[in-house]
Amino acid sequence: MPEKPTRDRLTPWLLSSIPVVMILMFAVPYTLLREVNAWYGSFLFWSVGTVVVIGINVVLTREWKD
Amino acid sequence: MTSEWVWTGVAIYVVLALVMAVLSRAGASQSMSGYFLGSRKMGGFVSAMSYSATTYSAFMMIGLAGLTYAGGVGALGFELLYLCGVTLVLIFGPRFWRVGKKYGFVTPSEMLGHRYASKSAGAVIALASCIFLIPYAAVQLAGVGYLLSGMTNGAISFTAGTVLAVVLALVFALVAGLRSVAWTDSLQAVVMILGASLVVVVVIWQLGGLDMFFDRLAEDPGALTVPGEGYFTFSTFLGLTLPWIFFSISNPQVSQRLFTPGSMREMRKMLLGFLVIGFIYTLVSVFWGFTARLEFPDLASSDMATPTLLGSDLVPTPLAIIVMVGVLAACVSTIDSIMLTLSSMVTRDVYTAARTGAGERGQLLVGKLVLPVIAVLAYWFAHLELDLIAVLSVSASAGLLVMVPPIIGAFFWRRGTAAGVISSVVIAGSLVLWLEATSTVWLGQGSGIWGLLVAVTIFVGVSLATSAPNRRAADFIDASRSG
Repeated sequence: MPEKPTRDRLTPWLLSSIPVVMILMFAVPYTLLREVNAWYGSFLFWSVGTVVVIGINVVLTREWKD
Repeated sequence: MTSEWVWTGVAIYVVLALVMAVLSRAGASQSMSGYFLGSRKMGGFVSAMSYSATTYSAFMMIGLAGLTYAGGVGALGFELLYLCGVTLVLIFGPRFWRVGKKYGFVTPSEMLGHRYASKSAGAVIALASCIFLIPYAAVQLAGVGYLLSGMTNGAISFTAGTVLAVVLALVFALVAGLRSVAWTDSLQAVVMILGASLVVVVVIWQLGGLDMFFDRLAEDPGALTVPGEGYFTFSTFLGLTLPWIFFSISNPQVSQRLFTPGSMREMRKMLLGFLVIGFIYTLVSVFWGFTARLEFPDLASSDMATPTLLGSDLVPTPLAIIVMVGVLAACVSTIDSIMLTLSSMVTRDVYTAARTGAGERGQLLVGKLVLPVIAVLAYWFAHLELDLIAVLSVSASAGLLVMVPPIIGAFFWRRGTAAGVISSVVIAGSLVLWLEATSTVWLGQGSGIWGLLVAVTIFVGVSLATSAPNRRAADFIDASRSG
């Protein structure tokens, strides 16, 4: 049996990492970043979290053809 | 701002949009799916632009900027979590698309009616969507009336603004259905993204650059943290965010778009294009709110943040006009999509459920006749200024959330039944309305949270107690998976 392509094995991991990122987007600003009143606090955290989620969407839709 | 400038801007927009609408007629067909779904052949770019224009109403630029003005960076977190929620399209997009193609569904409620083997279930969902979405469209309309009259100091009256918006929405919807709506949406989205981003660049440059901008914000206590000065408590944040995370599947005017792309490749372009545009839109609106917070700290109402910024010396007049016309167009693009979706739902799920055997041409005629009725209703509601309208509009996102369990169940739970769908939508939907109408807050949580919990409980409980359409469920779920 040929081994499954790496991307197939990655798919469930990538898909389940999205809710994890989103839960962190709820939790971290209200705990660790609660006192950081600067651009590198919640502002950056939420922006980076969103870019990560968009990136995962790019990877997971590569196979969408016809 | 003089009214001549404003009217010139509006006139240029109307002419351009009409040209696009008429050009989009080429290839328009006489079937329901041709009119309401662009013959299921929509391209990715136009779909992405149109999806953005439909989602981001005039209130994104006003409401989100206002929320930032009042509560600081929490507004960014709320809107970006919504955007991340659009990831649901990864799971539901291909499934909607496959079953839409196989069974010929035109509306999401028709899909649910088929899946649960009950036209009544489809009709209940269609009617519930009308109850929440017509007032939502009406409030959009009223908003644009206030904005135009506010920015021109009354030179354009409230009535003139709302009449203009409703007539344009109706014309764009009638010319060629989804095709003309999508093309005019695209024009609006491109103009708005460019104009609105340019405003940010110009304003930040005038305020001394990005470093200076953030340094000043850092001196404003709570501007860059949650809960900030106390506005964004965790409950408030959760209550706002949760209904919006499911927006992409709960709101029919956007979930219907999952039937429209010509191929999965085009759907990919739609999804990724929307995510990128949404990210830019969100940052832009939040920057506007922050700017108003720094420069105009004593506004009477936070909703004045955007109009004040655009009317100020910080923004050159021609740019302000472009963005203001963009806000008008954003309102039109949200309303015409809602009108089109509701009209297709009334025709497909209520009219044909009551009159079996109605042909495609007959249905399409009814659909086109329903469009002006919805437009007039929205216009009439906008002028009523009833408290109930405001309540219905505010509860729209929370109210539509109660449809999420039947939608998820359709694809992933064979035991779901029509009785479960109807009872959960009616009871949980009424609960949301009652909580909002009486301003009741249970345990400090928003109405959407209770609506969703009750909807899940009733849907699962009643479904388990009634018999499921096993054969239909198996066929449907198989069709949604095989691509």
